[in-house]
Amino acid sequence: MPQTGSQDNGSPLRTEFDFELPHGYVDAAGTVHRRGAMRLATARDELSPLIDQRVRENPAYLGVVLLSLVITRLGTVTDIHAGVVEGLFATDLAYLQDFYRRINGLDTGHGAVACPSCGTSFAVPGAVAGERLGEA
Amino acid sequence: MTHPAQRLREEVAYIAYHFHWGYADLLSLTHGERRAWVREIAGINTALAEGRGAR
Repeated sequence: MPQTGSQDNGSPLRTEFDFELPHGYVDAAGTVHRRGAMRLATARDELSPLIDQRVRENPAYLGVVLLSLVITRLGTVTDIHAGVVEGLFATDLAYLQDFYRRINGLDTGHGAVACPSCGTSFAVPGAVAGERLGEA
Repeated sequence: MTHPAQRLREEVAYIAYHFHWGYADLLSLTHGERRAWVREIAGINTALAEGRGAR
């Protein structure tokens, strides 16, 4: 089993990426948090929230839980839970969803599109890879 | 934004079947690394199917 996070030549693989939110998360005290970091996601990150009651009732909530798992830092916020992600501005949520797609090598389709009226960016769903795995 | 759960399980099962790696280890692979190993196995299988042997 290869060791995730290291290569044979000793140079570490990058598994965490810095980001800066377009708007920023405003906490209860009114402090704005814009800079943060997101780690690469795993199958566990996407499968484990499926037993969460909130995700079972609303599959769209998976994206919220997932982001709360992979965001490792957000300003000085100490506990990044699903409620924090829910409290983000739509612009920031779309930014983070696109950021997730990019660092995890997912098809971003045509990337994000911005509303010509309000400037809010929306992620365009990419095509689901449909190729079959090789036969044994 | 997410992978279809069935696709994730298919990829994990594919690697487990061929390489016999542990379930927890497979779940811990980043998406990119998991997909890379799926491609490696597919390459091996293709080579075997074409009678070229594993690379």
